[in-house]
Amino acid sequence: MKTDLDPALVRLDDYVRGHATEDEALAFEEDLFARALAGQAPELAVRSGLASTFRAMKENGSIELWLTAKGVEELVASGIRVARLTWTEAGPPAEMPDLGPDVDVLVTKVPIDLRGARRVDVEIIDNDGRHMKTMPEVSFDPDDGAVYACCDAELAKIAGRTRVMSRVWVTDESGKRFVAAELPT
Amino acid sequence: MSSESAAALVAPPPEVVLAARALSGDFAAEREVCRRLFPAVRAFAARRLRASTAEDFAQDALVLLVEAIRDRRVEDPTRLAAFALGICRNLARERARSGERRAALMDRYGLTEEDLTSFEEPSEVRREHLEDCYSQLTERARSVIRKTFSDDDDDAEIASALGISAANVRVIRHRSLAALRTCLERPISWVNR
Repeated sequence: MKTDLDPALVRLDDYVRGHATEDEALAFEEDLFARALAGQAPELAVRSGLASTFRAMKENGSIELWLTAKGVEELVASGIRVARLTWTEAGPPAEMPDLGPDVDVLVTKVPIDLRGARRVDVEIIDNDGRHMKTMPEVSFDPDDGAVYACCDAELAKIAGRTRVMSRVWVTDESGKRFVAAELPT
Repeated sequence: MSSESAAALVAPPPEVVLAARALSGDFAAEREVCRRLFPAVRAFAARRLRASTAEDFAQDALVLLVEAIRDRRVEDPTRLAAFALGICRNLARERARSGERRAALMDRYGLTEEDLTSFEEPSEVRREHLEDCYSQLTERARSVIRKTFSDDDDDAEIASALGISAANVRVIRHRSLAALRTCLERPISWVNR
C-alpha cells in the first residue's frame, strides 16, 4: 500500500477537483479511507498542509507577492497590517521598519523605470555570487515607476538578516532581455 | 497445521488492531481513528460538496463515526474504514447536516468543538517557507494555485479567468504541487548556503 508521493498527490487532486469519473472516484474513496486509517496516505497531509497554509497566506495578505501602487492602498484598506519600506535610488534605507507581532506583511517599494518592459524577473544572488532563487514574472504597473514586493513579516525578517544582490531582469517589447538593475541589500 | 490455524497465527494489521481497540471502548484509539480519517473525510467532502460546507461535513461525519463505534454498530474491525466511508456517502446523499443534530450528538457523547477541530493535524508547512517556494512559480502557476486553494474557484472558473483550457489548469496545478512539495523539502532560499 506504499505510494509514491507525487503520483499520489496527482490522484488526490484529480479526485478532489472532480476530474476522475464517478466509478474511479468510488474506487479511489475505498482505497483512500483504508490507507488513511492505516496511516499510509501521506498525500492527504501534504495537500491539507498546503491548503491551510495558503488560506493563512490569504488571510495575512502575503498571497499576493507583487503589487501595484493601487494594490498597496487596497491591501492597507482591507485591514491587513502593513509595514512599509521605501528604497531610494541609492538602495534600501539603513533601518528596517519594526516587524513586531502586530505586522502581517512588509511592502517594499523599489523605484525602477519599467516603461517598455514586457516581463520582469528578479534573481537573488548571495554574497559569493551564487544563485539563490529566481522570482519569475513580477507583476508591475509601468506608470508606478516602482515595483512593490509584498512579503510575509516572518519571511521578511529572515531575508533581512541575509546580505544578497537582487538582479532585476527585464524583457522588453522586442524580446531583448537585459539586467535593468542590481540592488544590494 | 491447517491453513485456518496458520491464518489465526498471523497478526492482524496495526490499523485493524487500532480499530478493534476503538470498538472495544478505548477512547484513545477512537481518537486516533478520527485523527487518521479526518483528512480523508475532508477530501471526500471537497469532492462531493461545495468547499464552504466541507469542514462542517467532515466534523458531522466524525461525530457519526464516534456514535457508531460507541454503539458497537461496527462488529468487524477490518471494516471500519469502509464503514466510515459509508457514513460519508450516506451523509452526502442525505445532506443531513443539521447543526441541531450535531449539537445533540456532541452533547450525548461529550464531544466539544475543540475535540472536533483537534482531529486536524497542525500544518507542518510554515507560511514563510511556502511563500518562498510559491514566489518561484511562474505567474500563471501562481494564479492557478491561488485560485485553487485561496479563492476556492473550480477549474472551469480558473480556465475562463486565465484564458486557458480546464485540462491545462489541471496540468499546471499538478506540476505546481510537485514543484512546491520538492521546494518545501529544501531549506528556505534565504538560508540555503
